Amino acid sequence: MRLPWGLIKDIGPAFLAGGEFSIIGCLSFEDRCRAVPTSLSSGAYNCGSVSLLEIVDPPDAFPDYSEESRRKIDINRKVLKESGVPFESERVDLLASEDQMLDVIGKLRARLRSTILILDITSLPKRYFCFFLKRFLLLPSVRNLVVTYTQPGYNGYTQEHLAEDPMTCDHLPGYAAPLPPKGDTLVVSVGFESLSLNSLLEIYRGQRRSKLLLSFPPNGTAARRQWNTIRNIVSGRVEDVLRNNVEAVAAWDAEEVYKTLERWNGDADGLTLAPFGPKPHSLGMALFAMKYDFGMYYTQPKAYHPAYSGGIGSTWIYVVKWDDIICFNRVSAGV
Amino acid sequence: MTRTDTRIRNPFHDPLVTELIEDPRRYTEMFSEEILVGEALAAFRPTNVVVVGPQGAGKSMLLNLLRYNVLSEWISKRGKPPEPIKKMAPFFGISVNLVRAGFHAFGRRSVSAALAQGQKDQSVDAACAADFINHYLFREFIRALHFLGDNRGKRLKAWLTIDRLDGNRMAAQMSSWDCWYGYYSGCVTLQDLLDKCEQRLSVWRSFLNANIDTIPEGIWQSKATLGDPLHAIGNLLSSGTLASRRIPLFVIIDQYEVLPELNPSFGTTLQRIVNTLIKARDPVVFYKIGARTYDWGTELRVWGAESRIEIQRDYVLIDLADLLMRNEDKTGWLYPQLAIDVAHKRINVEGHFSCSKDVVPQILGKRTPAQEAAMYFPKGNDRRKAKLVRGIPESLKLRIEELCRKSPLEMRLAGAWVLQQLQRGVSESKITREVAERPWSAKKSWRKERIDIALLQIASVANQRRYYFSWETALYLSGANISVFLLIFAEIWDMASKADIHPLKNYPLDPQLQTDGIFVASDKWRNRDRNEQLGGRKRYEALGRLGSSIHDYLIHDFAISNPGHSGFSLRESDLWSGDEGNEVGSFLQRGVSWAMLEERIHTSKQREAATRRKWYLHPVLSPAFAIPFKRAKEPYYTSVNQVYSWFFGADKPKFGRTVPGRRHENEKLPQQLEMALEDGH
Repeated sequence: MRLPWGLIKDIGPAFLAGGEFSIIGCLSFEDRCRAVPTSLSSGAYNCGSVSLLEIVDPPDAFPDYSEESRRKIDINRKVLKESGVPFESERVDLLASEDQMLDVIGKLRARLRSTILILDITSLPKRYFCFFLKRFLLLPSVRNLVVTYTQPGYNGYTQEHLAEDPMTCDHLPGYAAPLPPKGDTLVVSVGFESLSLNSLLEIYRGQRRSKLLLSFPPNGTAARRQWNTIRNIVSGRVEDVLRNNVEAVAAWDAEEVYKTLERWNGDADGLTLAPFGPKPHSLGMALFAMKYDFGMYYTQPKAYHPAYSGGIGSTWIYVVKWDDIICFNRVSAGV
Repeated sequence: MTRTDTRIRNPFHDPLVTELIEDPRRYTEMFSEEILVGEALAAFRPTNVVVVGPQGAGKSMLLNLLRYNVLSEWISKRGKPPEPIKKMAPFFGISVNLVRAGFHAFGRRSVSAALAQGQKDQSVDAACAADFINHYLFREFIRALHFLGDNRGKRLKAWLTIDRLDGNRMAAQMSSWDCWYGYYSGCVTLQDLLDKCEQRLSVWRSFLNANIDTIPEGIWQSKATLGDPLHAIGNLLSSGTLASRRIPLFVIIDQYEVLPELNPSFGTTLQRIVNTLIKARDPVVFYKIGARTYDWGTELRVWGAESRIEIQRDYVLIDLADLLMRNEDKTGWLYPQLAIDVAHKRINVEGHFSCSKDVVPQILGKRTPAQEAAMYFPKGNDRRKAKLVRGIPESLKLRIEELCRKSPLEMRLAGAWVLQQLQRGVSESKITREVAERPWSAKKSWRKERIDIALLQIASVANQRRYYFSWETALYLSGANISVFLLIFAEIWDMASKADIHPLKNYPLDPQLQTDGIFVASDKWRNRDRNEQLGGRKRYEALGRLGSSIHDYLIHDFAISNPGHSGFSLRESDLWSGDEGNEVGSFLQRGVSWAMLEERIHTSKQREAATRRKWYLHPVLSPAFAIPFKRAKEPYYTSVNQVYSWFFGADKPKFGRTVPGRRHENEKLPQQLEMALEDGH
């Protein structure tokens, strides 16, 4: 596994400055959804097209944030236009089926003119970006795939629930486990919300051991919120959490997540993955799940808080496929 | 033992019992046979069965016993099946969890659309799903044969009266079944069959996972017709070639109810496929399905036709809530025995403690209303106690205090009785004469119906939250739901161990400690629904508003005129008519399914032909809202429109009748009543 990654300002030019690229991202209510389209549509870069998906929560989502979300999306649309970003957008349902997502991918592919595809996962829901990642990695026509992720700005995340109204536990589209499910260890990447994680534990834990992946917290609030989630997972008995079963990885370090999973997999018969944490962690998990054919499970929330995050922070890029070689198939030089 | 040891060994720590279901060994140690009575036994007979009940009622626990590996563990350990099952004919149970198997994903990625460039054909997709379920269950059967063939299945094999299992002969026979259209040709061992079967299932999974975009011709051309392979398996078991007696095949189907949620466009078609299996009334294959109360019955049609599966004709319905809540007058009430047995097993097996069954209720002890009422005034506090009879004339107040000898419960009930008389226009002199007879004690049913509210009001006047303690209280609060019961016990145990008290050495546990545990359990049940269950976020808000309104109404009704107004009643005919009726109907049903509401049928006291139903907040929520957990007669009669405004409106719900029914029109409540509790809660 070799995954070149880093801050866009550091390694972006090495991979993106040479040729034309297309961006697939999300037009959302978050400020940070604008970061990649804006920064890569100007300067030394040659951006061929920007396609943004506007995700629509289901009508029965509660609380109903639709009005406020729409207002904030319209603001972001206006700001992008005023910044001169030439983008196309398309409304899609949050709970789109695999067929509907494949249709979207078909339309997006028709617009691609570039040799490099950038998948900006910043504001894309996990069920979308994990599925897109898989399809684009499998598609021979996409020879170069770069994933980008922008952190929130100084304001961080809202203190309220980030996401609510979770659905019953299900595999993420494209990531159903093989039969019989491999492995006896459930790995949970812990986020700020436990959502219906217990229902997942009920269905998939069984006799399995659980391991927790925490994101290395930039501040005390994040640590508190993650431990609140853990407290929910273990019914308040944090003393049950053994140090050996917990690993803290920087929130943006997808590669370390992948390596941690490889290490844990070596000690187990196989892993079942539950990506409830930060998106780069989910990225590391999705790459690992693809490589080893493991299942990824999630309790999809129906409602996302319109004040989910505030401001725009650093942008990271992850070169997941280059010259038609997927990062997990690329070996280090000399090996 | 240290505090940490006691906490770590909290035998009720994992109230959700899932791990028990996954692990046959632990399941065998923990399963309570007390539930194997009455109509619950129908689950073990050769008939199609649907077990319904709210979340946590024990459906999975019951159906799990049908699985071959679980029953085998039981027989291996104890030498025989559970006593009630021992008397029944042996059966062979295989199972499928539809979500874990991936069945629910059919149609989300359409095979027909992939074949015909986007043109979907539901019948093609249904045929593919049918093929998947056929082969998945065949795989389960082969795995079961493997199990029987080795040491693990030795005792089960004997129970099934299978003398010898010739795997190769069976493999040769099964691979040649017409229903496979040649797919298994060439398979000569059970392992061959298993490998070929898993290859096929893997292809379906790869397609649904979008790893591949086509289905290989060999699979496409050999799609098995729904139910045919299962019939062939059933015939094999019943033919006498395998065993010396006919063995019915039981198929346990789990997660049927979530198909429409996880697959909005095709989920009901998938349910119709399962319904078709039931409708076939196969004489050798019998299906066993568990579903939350109202998640069963929304789609009863079969696949490809409008005919429906019919209760009694096609299947038997077992309502666990009905079974466990029946006879709450305590004559033949099954639930207390079940609760004792479950708790006893938890303590002894999970906690590795040793105690006899009769100790279990003693851990929480007993309680009388008078004892509880006295706890709110530990130091006398006559000034505050006097407020229990406020709102009535001074002379009567003195008379009551004298008669009740400062017993808070008697004072509150006497005060309520006097207020009722005043509201009815009875003269003060007459009331003064009548109080000598202590009618609030003499009229047993009047008193019984009001005690729970009286205690809440006493706690409120004393500026305290209510005490919840005793075994009986825990039973009532759990609402005949074993998961709630386990949660309550877990939290009480935790509170005890935090205080360094060993529950088995210091019982009955202190009421304050029990109260603290029960409040935590109440809060957890409510928050668990909010955070983890479908639609829970909306229920949290709507039921929160309703609970507060019920509390406000009952606490302020110092005359306790309508003790049944902790619940509400609707005409059945008003539900499901019009948009509001539909929304209210489905909200209530979901609340019942998720064990946040309790529903009961009742007879209307009004002169109307319509039948009525009544709803209460689940008793475990009572502490959170300070409302009664015991049900009195005559709930608040209301309309669908009003209930709609409670749940979906923006204003605070107004609950209950503020003007007592028999009060004269021009009469006014004593002014004091309006202020009755302003400093009391």
